[in-house]
Amino acid sequence: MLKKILLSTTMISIAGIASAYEPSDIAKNYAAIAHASYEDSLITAKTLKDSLDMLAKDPNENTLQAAREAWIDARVPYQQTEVFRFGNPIVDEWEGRVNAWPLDEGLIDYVADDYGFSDENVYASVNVVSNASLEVSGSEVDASEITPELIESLHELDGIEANVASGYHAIEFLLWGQDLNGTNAGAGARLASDFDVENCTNGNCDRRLDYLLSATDLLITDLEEMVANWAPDGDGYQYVLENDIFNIAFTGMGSLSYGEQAGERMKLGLLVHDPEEEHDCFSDNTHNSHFYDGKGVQNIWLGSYTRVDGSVVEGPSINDYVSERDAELAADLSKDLESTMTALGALVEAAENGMAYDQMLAAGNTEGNALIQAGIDGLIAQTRNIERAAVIAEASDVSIEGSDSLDNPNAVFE
Amino acid sequence: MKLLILISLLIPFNLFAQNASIDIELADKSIESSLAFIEEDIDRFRTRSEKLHEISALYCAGDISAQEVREALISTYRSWVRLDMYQFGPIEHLSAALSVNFWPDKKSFVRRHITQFDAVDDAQKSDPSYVRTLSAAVQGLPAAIYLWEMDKCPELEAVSGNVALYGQEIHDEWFKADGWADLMKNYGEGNPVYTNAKEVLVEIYSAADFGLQRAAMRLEQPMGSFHNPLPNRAEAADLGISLELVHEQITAITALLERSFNFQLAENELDRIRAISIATLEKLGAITEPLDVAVAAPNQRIPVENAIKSIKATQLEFSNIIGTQLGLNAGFSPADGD
Repeated sequence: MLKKILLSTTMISIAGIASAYEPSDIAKNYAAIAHASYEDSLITAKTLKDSLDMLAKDPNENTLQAAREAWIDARVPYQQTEVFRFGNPIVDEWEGRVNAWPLDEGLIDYVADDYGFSDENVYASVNVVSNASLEVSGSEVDASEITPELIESLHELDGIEANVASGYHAIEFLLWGQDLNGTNAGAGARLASDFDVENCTNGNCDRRLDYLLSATDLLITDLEEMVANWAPDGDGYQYVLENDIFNIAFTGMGSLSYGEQAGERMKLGLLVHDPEEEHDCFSDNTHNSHFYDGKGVQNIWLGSYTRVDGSVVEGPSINDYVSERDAELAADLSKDLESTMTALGALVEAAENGMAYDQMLAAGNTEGNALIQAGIDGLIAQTRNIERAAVIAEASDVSIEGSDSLDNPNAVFE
Repeated sequence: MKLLILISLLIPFNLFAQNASIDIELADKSIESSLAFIEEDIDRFRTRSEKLHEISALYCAGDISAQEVREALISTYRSWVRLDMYQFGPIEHLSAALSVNFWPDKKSFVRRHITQFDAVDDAQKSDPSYVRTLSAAVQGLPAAIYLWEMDKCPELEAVSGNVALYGQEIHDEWFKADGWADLMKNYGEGNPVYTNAKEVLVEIYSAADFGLQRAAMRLEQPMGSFHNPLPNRAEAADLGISLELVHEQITAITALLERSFNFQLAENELDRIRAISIATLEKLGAITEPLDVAVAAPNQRIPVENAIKSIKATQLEFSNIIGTQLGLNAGFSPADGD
């Protein structure tokens, strides 16, 4: 009986609250954060391109190192956009072009002889950098000139997801090369001379440079498209204004936290103790990727994003809206998100002190395993309160129109 | 294909409309009934995995045939797939989903990591607790199948023993005093996981919904593309039970929903759930070749595609029935994300 009364009380208290925060204002702030995050991703991608131009002009260890640092910087805003993926079809459909992972990197360039070629992917060792002509499903593809268009056409070649030809991780592989250290210290160690046409190591330095520059041009084009989508007249902006912002935002927050980050990106690698399941496996930048993924979730909850220039985009938030209805729950979720950020911050701290993420996940590394597990635990725990907050905000159904099959699903059983 | 895309787009957006009130007494009955059902299935896996361990030991001692190991593997696998939907609570905490059944194995981790046994002496090779320190890829049933095929003892005995350990641990974590079952029964203020009855019912319904996603995935994974099918991804194909596992899973999901919600749903709604399930199993039955063969034969792919569509439509229909009548919608699950 007590339980029944408690439930009824909760239901009554939720009903009929006049809000100081309009969902449309929350949606506009959400879209403004998306726009700023993608714009920062574009700005930092252009900086990356500038550094690659320097590398091309004068390939040496300093210019290569500068390019690597620019890539790491570019990941900071981009990872914070991942929270927009799962609730926004326009982002989810596009995202594979820029951040697909994991990849069979032998598609792009040379790899070690003992590289574990996939049984499932006949293109896993194609090596576009060294081959001007490729055979795809019985047809010849002219790869004599490496252009953004060629790379775009090779992406997910023959419908195989591991054929990642474009995006951040393709560029990462070209900048670092394979990390052959397993779960020991050290990232990929590609030489700057791999890009030195005059003094070339590992062959085809001109084509490797062409690939690197073209892939970055393509990344910039793709990011420009997404920035436009989140401008006030863009499709992404309009979508969040026309649909239930709470459903969109909570779907993104929960799906990224639980199934994607805690599960696919962290738990799997920890369980197999294999750096092949590490997200930024060439650069050993995984700690940062995980941290900024978590930060993106927190940004959306708090309605605030700190841009790469230090300015802040902020406004009415989902936190504000839920706080009006259940202050305790809102505080609990804020606390959960903060705890997760502390746990993910511990990964960053450990990495910066010499224990890279691939070392942390090694079998027998009790301390490292525990650090990763703490991040996973935090992400799982916050998902439960994300679900509760969604209920409190009364996130609703979104129907998709125009499908006979959905109008009449019974036809499928006939 | 358009249908598949549209249905999969629709489902994640139905997550949260669950503010309707519920009858607590009926909810309590539902929780009690579903826990009894879950206990039966968990106990079945515990018993069968223990038997697998015994059989493996006898086989490694040279006392019985390889065929008997095969039968024990099939029996254990079938009992596991019924638990596959409960990837929360103990199975999540114990990381048992991947450790017991490392599938899909997209990068051949089972075959590659099995060499971890080579570095140790026979005493460790035969020790289930040593297996627990290795990659999840070599801890469970796919590794046991591989070792059985390779006729590798005592590793087979050790891996089977580890699966049996999971069987016992999962059972204990669920049904010991103050275990997960008690947590679900004793929802309310102060409960660290379930603050009200509706959250427990959502957990149960989410498990069923997730299970259907997994059932579809069991067929989708080996499909690959027309030009590049991936028959090696057919689950437990070497035992010839890939389709049987999907059948078993759908049967278990339907039974869970019936047992859980028969107090709240009208008879015609329960009939509808049964009828949809039967229709989907018939679609599955229309696949006349083993799954790994069917996906690689152009004219055999159509019945597989039909079965996938049917499972996804089942998910949508169950969502309509449970969502409309009970105000429950599935929450987040491990299937969210890529």
